[in-house]
Amino acid sequence: MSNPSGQDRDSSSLVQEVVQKLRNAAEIEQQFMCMYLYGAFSIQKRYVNEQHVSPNAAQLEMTRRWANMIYSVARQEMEHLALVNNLLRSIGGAPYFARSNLVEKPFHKYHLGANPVRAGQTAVCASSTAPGKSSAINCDELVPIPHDFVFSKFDLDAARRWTCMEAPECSTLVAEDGSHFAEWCFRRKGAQKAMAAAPPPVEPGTIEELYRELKGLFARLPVSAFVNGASTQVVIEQQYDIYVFPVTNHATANQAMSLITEQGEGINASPTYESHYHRFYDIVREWEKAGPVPAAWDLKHDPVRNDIEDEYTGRVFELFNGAYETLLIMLTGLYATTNQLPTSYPYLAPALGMEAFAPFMTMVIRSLAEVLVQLRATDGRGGKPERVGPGFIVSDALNSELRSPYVDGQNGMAGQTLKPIFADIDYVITRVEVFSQRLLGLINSGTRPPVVDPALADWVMQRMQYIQVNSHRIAINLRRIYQQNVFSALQSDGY
Amino acid sequence: MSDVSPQPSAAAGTFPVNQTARYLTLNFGGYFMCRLATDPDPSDDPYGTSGYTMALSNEPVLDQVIRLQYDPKAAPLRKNPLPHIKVGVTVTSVTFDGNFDAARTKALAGARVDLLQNPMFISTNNTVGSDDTMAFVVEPFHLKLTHNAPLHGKSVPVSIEAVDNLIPGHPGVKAVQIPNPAVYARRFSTAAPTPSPVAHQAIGVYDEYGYFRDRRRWLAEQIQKTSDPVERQGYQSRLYQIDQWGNRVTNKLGFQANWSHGTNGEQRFDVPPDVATELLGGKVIVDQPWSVNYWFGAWDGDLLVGYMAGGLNIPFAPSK
Repeated sequence: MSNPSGQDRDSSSLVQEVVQKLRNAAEIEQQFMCMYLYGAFSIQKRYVNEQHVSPNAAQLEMTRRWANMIYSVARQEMEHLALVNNLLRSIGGAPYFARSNLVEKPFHKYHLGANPVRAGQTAVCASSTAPGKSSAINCDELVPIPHDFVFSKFDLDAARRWTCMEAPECSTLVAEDGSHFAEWCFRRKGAQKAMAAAPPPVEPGTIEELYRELKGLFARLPVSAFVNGASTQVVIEQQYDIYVFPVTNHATANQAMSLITEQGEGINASPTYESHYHRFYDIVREWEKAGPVPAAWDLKHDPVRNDIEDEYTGRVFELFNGAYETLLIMLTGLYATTNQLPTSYPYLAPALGMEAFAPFMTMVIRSLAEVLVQLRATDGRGGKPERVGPGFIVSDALNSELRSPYVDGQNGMAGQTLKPIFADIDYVITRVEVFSQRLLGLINSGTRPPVVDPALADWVMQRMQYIQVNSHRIAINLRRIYQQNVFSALQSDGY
Repeated sequence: MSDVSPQPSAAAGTFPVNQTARYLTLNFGGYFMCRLATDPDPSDDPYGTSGYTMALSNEPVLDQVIRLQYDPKAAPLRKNPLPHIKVGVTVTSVTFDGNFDAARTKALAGARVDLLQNPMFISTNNTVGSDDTMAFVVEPFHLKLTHNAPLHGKSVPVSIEAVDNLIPGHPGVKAVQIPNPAVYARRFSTAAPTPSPVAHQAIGVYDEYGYFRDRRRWLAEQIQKTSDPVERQGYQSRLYQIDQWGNRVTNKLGFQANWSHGTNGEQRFDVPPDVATELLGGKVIVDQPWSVNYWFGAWDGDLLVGYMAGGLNIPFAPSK
């Protein structure tokens, strides 16, 4: 056994420090993604030709564009999560797809600033300065207002909160040109705080600072720290606003982190660049101009199973969580696979890669969430929302496995032996097939889905059948691709 | 006369008496409509949220159906600055044994072409096909041509139908129910290299970017002109999608997906018996396999309109 030199020990300890920070970043990116998806699922859409939604036709077009932006931002959060995992893999870290469940929180905590703002009202300008002129903003007088992750319907409050969570530091906004200064994200120094004792985790500048720190740490890593090449990482080239590239050295690591903060906070981007911050800011301004817009169905925030009184809806809620867990297992297995482009059996990475994104995310995860928000969760009495969205709840047991996916990995580093649930294709196939069978059982139970809007009863049933048939097919495709690396339509096996 | 092919397939029947390898080809073309959802929306999405296509809030929902004829109720054409776009696929010419046939073209040109039973482009987000390589199945496939052909100053009703099943003899089976894609691989499209000159030529547009640059300007103008808030928001959504998706929208004008396959289901050629031979100057053979080739493309994702063209190949024995 070699005796590591002091320099090696320093380097190893630095790698572990970077790995821990990247794990935090991965969890934050996933929280962002789930939070945005929850909001997007709540936005009212038309599923049949009857007018059954409360926004009028003109408002529906506005909210559709907002939904489009939110989905786009959520996809880029997935991209950030993917890039962070490539960063992890590049230096020998284990992939990280664990995520803490949101616990129940008092709602007042999420109002913005000292004075809660209701949908349709003008935000309280904490700095008392009009937006638009950087010279009028004195960052020394302002304190950023922190926010926590919360799964809530999409309303003006949420749009403002998300703006702040994606905001760069005050000084960065001023340096940009001040035309997109979200004054509701800051309060004057000395103004009374409305926050709970434990400060929520994200405030303007939080993400910017996180990646700035990571960039500094990466810069200190020796070249030899990049132990895994491109073939160990997942690549998605320019698909639907997503750009996932391999991290193999200092330059690509820096590019990955720069892309994340450019897309999110607009760091080092043109003032007209559509960062997440800018997009949410623009939504807030458009909404304020439009006046009250009933954009979303009223969903219970941060839902858990016990919030749901209806048994049928509860089962759909649980099915969703199970499917989401399956997705995290697939992604962990995919990112842990050291050979992304195998040339002979078994084809684990192609099987997981071809099924995890589209179709599993689109045909199962999103499709089922859109069903869930149409179902009655409670009787609505006492002001309770009748509906819930997906909780994205991960069991403690699985979170534990996700945090430590290797039998022999330590301190967040990859080991040699992946735990069976991430390496065994049969386990994944079985999970998908069990999901499909349980959904079929629900469809054939003889109970009609408890839709809130009767006009959607048929559509909900059709969508559930659609998900069931396609999830069964996904299980079959996983097996075929694993065995033959084929999904190509043109490959014939002699029929 | 009503000639109907034996079932399930001509190949399974007795040896046909009228053997001919020569095809009468009915060529067709025209604009089609399809109110389809696009990735990354789920493929059955009725509304259109995260893809580049959408049902405007004052329009019917997306139903994914390929329509070769205009149906203003189910699929209204959006306002646009191009009055020449008229949805409708018709027979444009007839060839026999590969050569233009003026007499038979005169008989059948203008015949209406339909795909029956609400066909869709099926891939379902890569579940049964490949969105990435544009490998789609048109499902189901039931082609029908109808016409009132001129003959001696009268009008002769003609109806031609050709059906292809993913599995011969099993008309109800869908692609998602067939685990092995190789079973139905013959029904997949293959994408032509883009931009396709064929697609460009069909619609007379070669400057894809300019086409949509003009659309953006036109939409911006309409936003200023209209006093109807719903219409204004609709124009804004259309403009937003073109801006947001850029090349993904513009390059579809030069897109062309090709299909070529036989028809293993019912093949029908129905004309009044007294003029059957005289109308086309020969006999259509329905108990031998027919084949069809077609393409869809030149897609305007703002209007949900594209161009399709192809040919139905029917074994044909000319009169002596």
